[in-house]
Amino acid sequence: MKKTSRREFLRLGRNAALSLTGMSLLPRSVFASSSPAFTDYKALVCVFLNGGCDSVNMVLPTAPSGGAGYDMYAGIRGLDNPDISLAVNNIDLSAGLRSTGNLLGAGWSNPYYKNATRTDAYLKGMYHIGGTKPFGIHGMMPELARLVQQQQAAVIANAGTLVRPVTRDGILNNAADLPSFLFSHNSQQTLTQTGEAKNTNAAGWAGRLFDNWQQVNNNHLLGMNIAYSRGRLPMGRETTPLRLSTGSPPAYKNLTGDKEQTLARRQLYLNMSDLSMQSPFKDLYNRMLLRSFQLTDVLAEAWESTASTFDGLTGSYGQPLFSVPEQIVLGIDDDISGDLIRQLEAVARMIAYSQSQTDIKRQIFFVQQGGYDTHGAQRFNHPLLLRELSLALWDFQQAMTFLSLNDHVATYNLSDFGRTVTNNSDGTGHAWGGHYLVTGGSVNGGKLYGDLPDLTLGGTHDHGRKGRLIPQIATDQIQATLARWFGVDDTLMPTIFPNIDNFSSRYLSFI
Amino acid sequence: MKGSIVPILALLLLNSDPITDISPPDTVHFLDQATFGATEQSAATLKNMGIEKWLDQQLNMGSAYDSDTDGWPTYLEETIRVAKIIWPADFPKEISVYLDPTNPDYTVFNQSKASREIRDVFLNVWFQNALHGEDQLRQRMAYALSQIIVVSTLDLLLQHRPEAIVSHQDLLAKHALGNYADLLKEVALSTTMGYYLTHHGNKKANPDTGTRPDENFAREIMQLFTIGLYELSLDGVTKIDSVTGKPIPTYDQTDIEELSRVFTGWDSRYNARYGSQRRTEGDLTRSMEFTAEHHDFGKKIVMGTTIPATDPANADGEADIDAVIIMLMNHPNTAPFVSKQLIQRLVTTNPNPAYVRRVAQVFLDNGIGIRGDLKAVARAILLDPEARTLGRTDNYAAKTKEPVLALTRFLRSFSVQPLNGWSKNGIVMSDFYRINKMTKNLGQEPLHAFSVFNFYSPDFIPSEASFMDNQLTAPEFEIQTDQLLIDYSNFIYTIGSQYEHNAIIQWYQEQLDHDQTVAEEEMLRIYAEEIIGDKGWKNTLMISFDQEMELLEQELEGDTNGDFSSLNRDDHAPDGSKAQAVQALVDHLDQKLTASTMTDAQKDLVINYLVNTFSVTESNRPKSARLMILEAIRVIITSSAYMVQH
Repeated sequence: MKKTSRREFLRLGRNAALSLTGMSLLPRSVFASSSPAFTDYKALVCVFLNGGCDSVNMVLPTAPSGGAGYDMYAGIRGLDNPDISLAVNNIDLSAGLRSTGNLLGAGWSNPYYKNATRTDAYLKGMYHIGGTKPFGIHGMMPELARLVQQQQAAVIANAGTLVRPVTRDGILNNAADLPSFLFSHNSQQTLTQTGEAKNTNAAGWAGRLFDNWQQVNNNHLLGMNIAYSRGRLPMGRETTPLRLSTGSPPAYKNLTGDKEQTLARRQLYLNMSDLSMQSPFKDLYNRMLLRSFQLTDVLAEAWESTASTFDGLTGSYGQPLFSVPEQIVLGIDDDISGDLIRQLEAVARMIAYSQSQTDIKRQIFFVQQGGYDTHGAQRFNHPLLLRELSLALWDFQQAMTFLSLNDHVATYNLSDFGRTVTNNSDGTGHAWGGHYLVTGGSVNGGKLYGDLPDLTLGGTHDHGRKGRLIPQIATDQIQATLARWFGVDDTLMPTIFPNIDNFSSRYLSFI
Repeated sequence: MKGSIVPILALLLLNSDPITDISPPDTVHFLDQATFGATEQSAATLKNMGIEKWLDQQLNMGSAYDSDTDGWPTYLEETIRVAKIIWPADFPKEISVYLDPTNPDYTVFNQSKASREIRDVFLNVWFQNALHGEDQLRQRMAYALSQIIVVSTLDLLLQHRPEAIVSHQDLLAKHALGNYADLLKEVALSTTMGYYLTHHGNKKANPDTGTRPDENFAREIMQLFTIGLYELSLDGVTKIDSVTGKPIPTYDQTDIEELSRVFTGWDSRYNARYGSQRRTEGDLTRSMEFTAEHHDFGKKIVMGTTIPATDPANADGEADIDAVIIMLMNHPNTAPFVSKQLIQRLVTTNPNPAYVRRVAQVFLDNGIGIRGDLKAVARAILLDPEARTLGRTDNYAAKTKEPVLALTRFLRSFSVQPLNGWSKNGIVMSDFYRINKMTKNLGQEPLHAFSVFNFYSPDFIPSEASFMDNQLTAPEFEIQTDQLLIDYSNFIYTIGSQYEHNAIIQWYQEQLDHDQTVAEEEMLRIYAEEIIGDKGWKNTLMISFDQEMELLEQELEGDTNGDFSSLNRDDHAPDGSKAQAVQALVDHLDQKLTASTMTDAQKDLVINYLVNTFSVTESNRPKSARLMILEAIRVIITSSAYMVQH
């Protein structure tokens, strides 16, 4: 699998506002009437790293000794073999993070700067984070390091899809109850998002939540789940997310505006879409058309009313917030894509707009950054991806703080899986356990939850012999913890995460 | 699983033999499945020939790959030819020099330039073939295969060397009506695939450094190109383990690791260093070359099958690959896995398992003992009674048009041709199709999928009770976003209003400073020059509503002189001449565009709007007529009648 750039789909059949003649959709869920009535606003943002992020290089050991220590890591990753090395140097770059003015200096002043190339910058060093469980943040992620220092970000170590805890012995004896299709991209992407590690046909957990909370935003047209990229997470059995693209929303040409002819023409389209076709495919298409008309006005308003919301705010180099810094500023020899920055900008603007909508109390956003499947050319590609992830998370945090919503919005990332600790001389393969980030004002940040794993090949933490880490924490537990913060009570939790009671505790303490 | 539908189908399909008579409404339906979209001409031809002869002709037509000298260019030949016109300085040599490695002057096409714009040239060739090519079925099969054996110009390296996509397209088109085993072999050795799935430069395991071979291609050749993730019955239904109640995986991680050892030792030709990925190295127009030093010659065991060790002295890297392909072709999954997806791309995204079984059976054995015969498979797919039964509204027969096919159908229906007279690089261009920002406007572009998992998953089920309850797969819905529907509608409107023959002529006539006595061809050329010019962001095609203009006027006032003198604003009489003309127009469009599947309710809405609401501007009746036609076409093309074919 290679680099992706994703968007997409879905429509809603649920909203009472859509029930026009001939198209009434009766609620099928018994839970529809039991949506909680929140008085405060909260949002969750899931940043999915598509392809399987090599997070062993994103969150690094710093203490030298032991199976989980730096020396073990560096040995396996090939520190002594410059031709193939994927080992980040254990050099603390924290001095390059400024405490006044902009966080970073441009060009050669970047703390990770080396020879103006990203391959050299990739391995130059890291930012040391102290505490009882010290660790390092990859050198290409200075903003993330600062967020950790500010206790606005936390790391969850060695998490992955799990049905229940497993051991290496159990795996070797074929007695372990494993998630379906380990190491397969699409299956693992799906399972991290369904919250049901043996069921790739299940709805996404956020979709399942909205199925149960259909009135949570009082039938507002925007619903609860909004996706800027394609994924299972926000897809329910009865509800569907709004699927948007970044940038200004399109309007129907020649069908938008107040002129009599235009309105009459538009009515033709509405009438056409409102017909019952007695074919599920045609009916679905008609519903999608109908919804697209109803949404254009709301989306246009959301976009236009937030055009200047973040004016004057700046990012880590002093650049306008959410702008994409060029390679010369970043001090490397290639551009970052900008796609994730644009998606998080769109999320920030949608959150800003939603504050003007008194009905909207809960929102879950899904965005995605592609390209993490670094079987090859990891030194070329991974630095650009990590750089953009760090910039995007930082800019988003600044925006949330500006809106005084920092304590009300939590951002976290997921990925298909972590990657092999061993390398294939140019990159890494599909693996399992990885490290994940959570950011936001409510996060008990500045530290690592769980433990950095023992990297010994063929050791107790290895699925096999190639360094595929057996996760000690389930992605379900991470998301259940966030769901609880979001307002899901203990009674509902097993519906959302059916395997959650297979673990010694449902919740972690990072938020 | 599909419960109550089965008894109904049992009534409909008493006979499962291929159907070889074709009824007139079915001509359009058939052509929408077997070509890039029915046209009146192709429908008439099919009606005259009958389905068997039409199919025989298509299946036996031959291809650009039969001979190097027959004047039938491959995608690569044509791409180079056009590239030389646009960038003569960058591609100064004779075409043959870029194609013939035995030529002492052989130059790797696009290596030194690494131009991303070759992608535009490729798309032009792709559209020329799709819109006008004679070998429609071959090209349609190649397009279907391009969504199973995926390569994409979205790839970080390939975007700089888009000739890689050109070679991939040639590979698919060459084998589209050949044998699937040959296709797999060439894919395994393809440099393009070697880059896309990172097995070029793959090295056997090194015990000293601890590196192991890259597993990417080994995984995907199984998961995506042949057997999938779990065991299937011949009818494509997932088998369930009676003990666990879960699907049965086809392979495990060990199998992948073993298989990855096979795909070692292959790399692009003309790399300075084995496995190098520099933008201006390597040859993406030819297959990979073998370096024995990096190959693992040992014995491998994959899914219980032994691939025997070979003698390194023979330096034969293909023996392993051949053994793997035999293993995969013999795997019981391959026939249903591939057949079902081909059915999904051509006919229906939700095929009845019995249909899948019939086609998979042909994949297994074409009747004379050959496995993987794609010609036989294409025939079986298209002649099956499931494909040839009209007017069904049950769940099995539906296919939402994927955006690219919705576009080609639309363009073919309205006699599309290139618009000539615009400029690129200071060169006046003709005969070149450019479609602006396909992914943004349509959500899809040929060979530009988001990942090797294609634009959508073949198993996608929309989040809708009726779909989930009945497990109805509808992959094309996976890419339909709220915003995409708007973009698509706008795109159709743009083409219909700015790139249509009558619109262009009317535009010209309104430019009073233009010489009004010139020939029409000159008017079109001036439009291209002035409106498209050398701005790279426009479309370079022209459709025509001529037939509709004539039909409307003929019905309205009995002549076709183009003045539409009887088209009156206040003529709302339900039996008046305007109403009759509009009825005729809508009936015509219904037949032409939807194989007459619009419901009365849909037609009535359109007719009612055009007769009673659409405002005729009597000071410019010809323009009003054109706009009336455009309105009808836009609403139909964006409606479920057109977008969902049964």
